Order: sequence, then structure tokens, then C-alpha cells
Amino acid sequence: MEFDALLLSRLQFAFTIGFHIIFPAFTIGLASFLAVLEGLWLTTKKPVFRNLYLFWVKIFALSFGMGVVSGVVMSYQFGTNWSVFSAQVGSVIGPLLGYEVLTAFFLEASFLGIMLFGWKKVGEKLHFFSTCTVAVGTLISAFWILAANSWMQTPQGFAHAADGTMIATDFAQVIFNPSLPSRFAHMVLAAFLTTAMVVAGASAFALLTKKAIAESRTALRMSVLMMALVAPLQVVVGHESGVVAHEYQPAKVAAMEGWWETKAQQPTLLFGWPDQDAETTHAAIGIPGMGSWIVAGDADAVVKGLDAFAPEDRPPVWITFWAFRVMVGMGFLMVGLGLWGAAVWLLKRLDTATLYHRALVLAAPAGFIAVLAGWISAEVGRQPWVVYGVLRTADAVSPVPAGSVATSLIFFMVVYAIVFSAGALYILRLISKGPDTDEDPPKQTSEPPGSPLGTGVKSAATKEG
Amino acid sequence: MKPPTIEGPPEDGDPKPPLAKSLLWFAALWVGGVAAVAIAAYSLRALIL
Repeated sequence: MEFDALLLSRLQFAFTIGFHIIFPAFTIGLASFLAVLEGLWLTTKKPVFRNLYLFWVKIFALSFGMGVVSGVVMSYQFGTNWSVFSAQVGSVIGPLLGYEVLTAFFLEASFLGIMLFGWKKVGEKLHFFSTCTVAVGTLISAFWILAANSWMQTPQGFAHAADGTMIATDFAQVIFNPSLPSRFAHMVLAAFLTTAMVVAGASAFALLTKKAIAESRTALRMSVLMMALVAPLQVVVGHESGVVAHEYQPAKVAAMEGWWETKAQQPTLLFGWPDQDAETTHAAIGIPGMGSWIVAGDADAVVKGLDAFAPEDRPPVWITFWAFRVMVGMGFLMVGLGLWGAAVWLLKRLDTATLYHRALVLAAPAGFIAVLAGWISAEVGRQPWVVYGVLRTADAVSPVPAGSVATSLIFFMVVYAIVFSAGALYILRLISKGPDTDEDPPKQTSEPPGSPLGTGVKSAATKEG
Repeated sequence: MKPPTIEGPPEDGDPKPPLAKSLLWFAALWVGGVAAVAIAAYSLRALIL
């Protein structure tokens, strides 16, 4: 493997976008969660909702800030590392990224100030309006970014100009390209689940450490409800996204599934070790026919394998195959935790199910892992194309020396390690502290609480004294 | 005691501010948000141009 400008530029973009996606994946869900909390506070006036809002809004502000900083770096890379890509497709997806800034980012960023500093100043209704505006802004932002990325997966509504660059012939087709609906829904649900897992983990941790009991119980119920309803729905939407990918990007799906041969009865592989050179998947354990049934609705359907594509048109299989399995594994983990939570809730044991609380704390990063793995499988699976079937990644890189890209990559790695580690640690510190509460703090006593032994020791000590 | 940076809701006994004052604060904070974004954006632009 040669570390040329192409590979280094790809690594740099993967590194920076890998950091970046963590924050929007969290803030999209958190903004909606805050809007719900404030709405509940306005209608019920229960202090738990206010306390939860004031707790999570701090974490939202920090995550939003880190998301902005890490996002700006990527915009620069379009110019520095991917200038040919920018020149070729800028007329088509440039406006989509511009709309994201104009219609979504400005909305979020400008109303965030009111959300953070204006509750008393502007009053309850205008503040709630601002929180809802920020929440809607995050969703609009996701829409435009997904529109741009989905166009790169399933391009349409464009033509080549005389100079070879691409120009949009129909912006409606560019925006509402075939993979947008399922991918947008998949991403928004992933963001909601990511937030639900973090809120559930934080609430479970607070319950295990006996902090802010009322707030933690409420937040735990809200996140378990979200998990139990949305995680199974996400499986359905993810399936739909896979069906669309199979129709428009069959090589990607073949790599995700580890299918080398075009045949009927394609299996769903539960485990395997894809070998690109040998064009086989070693130690494959799978369910015959299930793959054909999932993507084509018929176990006997003939489904394309990687042999239908020239070796130079195939994506890297091992990464795509395993990233997909990690995403699906995390998805089913969330389904399981949602159902487990619903079951203990029905048994009225949600507040005391210590084992479940511990599982939630351990699974708190599951949403982030699923989002990262999902994006890796989607983006690596699109290779060797940057715009599927139209522009190769190798033809989109800037004519810059490898040394320059390596230097900036090392710089990013060092700066990100410092800035984002500090940010993440601060967020974890806030989470471990838990929300402020109106409850009385637990009484500090030296005797076992409520036990006859404790009472006896105390009375004896009083008598002696 | 220093007031918290992130402002909470009005307390139960707090008098309701006049609508004009609330709207003025709303506009001022929004303009402040836009200004913060503009300053950051133009500073970053100045770095690369």
C-alpha cells in the first residue's frame, strides 16, 4: 500500500469526518429532546423537566460548538485536498451545501443564543419557539447534507458542460435523488437513537449512583420509550435503504454481504473473512437464500455478486463487510435493550433493575459506534467512485504532494486529540455529575439506614452520652 | 452569588416583563447570534484569502 496524496487525502477526510459526525449525530436528537422537555415543562410545570432541560442544554451547547469547529475543517478540505472534485461537481452540490448554511446552520446558530441566555429575558413562549427552531434547524441541516451525499451515491439531474465539469439540469432531481428518502430517514432515526442511548446511559448511571432520582427516572423512561419504538423502526428503514442501494449500487451491497459470485440463493453471512485477492470469503457462516430474499424479496432470485464488476470497479470488501456487520450488530443491540427496557417497565421494575441499568451504561456509546460503522460501510462501499459511476475518487484529488497532506493530517490528529479529548472529558464530567435537582440531598449517617442494629447503636450511644 | 451562565426559566413570583421588552431582547439576542456567526465566518475566510 502506497501512502500517496490520494490515500492520505482519503485518510484525512475519513479522520475529520469521523470526528465530526459524532457531534451532529448527537445534537440532532438532543435538540428535539430539549424541545420535548421544554414543551413538557410548559404544559405540566413539573420541575424535573426544567432541571433536565438545564442539564442537557449545557451538553448540547458544547457538542454543537465542537460539531461546528470540526465541520469547518471539512469544508476547507474540499478546496485543499479535493479541488478537482470541487471543480467538477461544485455547480451541482455546492448550492446544496450553501442552502445548508443559509437555511439550517444560520437558524440553529442564531437562535442558540436565545436558547442559552434568554429564558428569563424573552419569556417562556419565545424561548420555546427558539428551542423548537434550533431543533428544526438541525433536521433541515441533516436534510441538505444527506441530499448532497445521496446525490454522490445515486447521481441524477445533471449533464456535462463543454469543459467536462458537471452542471445541474434539474435541481429537484439532484435534491430528491433516489437514495435521499431512505438515507435521510435512516440518519435522523440513527441520531434519535444515538441521543436516546446517551440519555439512557447517563440516567442509568445517575440511578446507580443515587443522584437526581426523579430526573433520572423521567429521562430513563423517555429514552427507553424512544429505544423501544425507534430501534425496531430503524431496522425497517435500514432494510429499505439497503434495497435502494441494491438497485442503484449493487457492487456496494455485494461487498457489504461478502457475495463474490452472481447466483440465486445468496446467503446472509453472519460471519466471514473476506479476501479480496482470493475473491472469496473464508470461514463463512450464513443462512442460504436469506440475502436474495432480503434484497429481492425472493430467496431464489439471482443477485449480482462482485464477479459482475471489473476488479478495478469493486470497493474494498473487508472494511465494507465488517463495518456493515458492526452497524447491524449495534442496531440489534439497541432493539434488544429497548425491548428489555419495555419489559422491565411493564413489570414495574424499571427503576430498580440494576443489571439493566449497568447494561445501559455500557451500551451508551452504541449509537455512535453504529453511526460511524454505517457511514464507513456507505462511503467505503461507494469506492472507487466519489460520484457513483461518474467520477472516480482517484480523479478527484488535488494535485498536491503527499508530504503536504501527511503534514496537515498529523497536525489534525494532534489538534483533534487535544481539543476533542478535552471536550469529550468535560461532557463526561458533566454527565457524571448529573442534573441539578429540587430533591433533598441524602442524609449522611454512620449507621446502616433503617436497620434495627443502626437504631440500637444510636440509642446506646445516646444513653452513654 | 454569580448568576448561572445558562439562564433558567422565570421563577413563579417573577413579574412578567412587558411584551415590547421581551421582543427587544429576542431581537437583540438573535442579532447577537448572527453577529457571532458572521465574525467567526469572516475571520475564517480572512485566514484562507
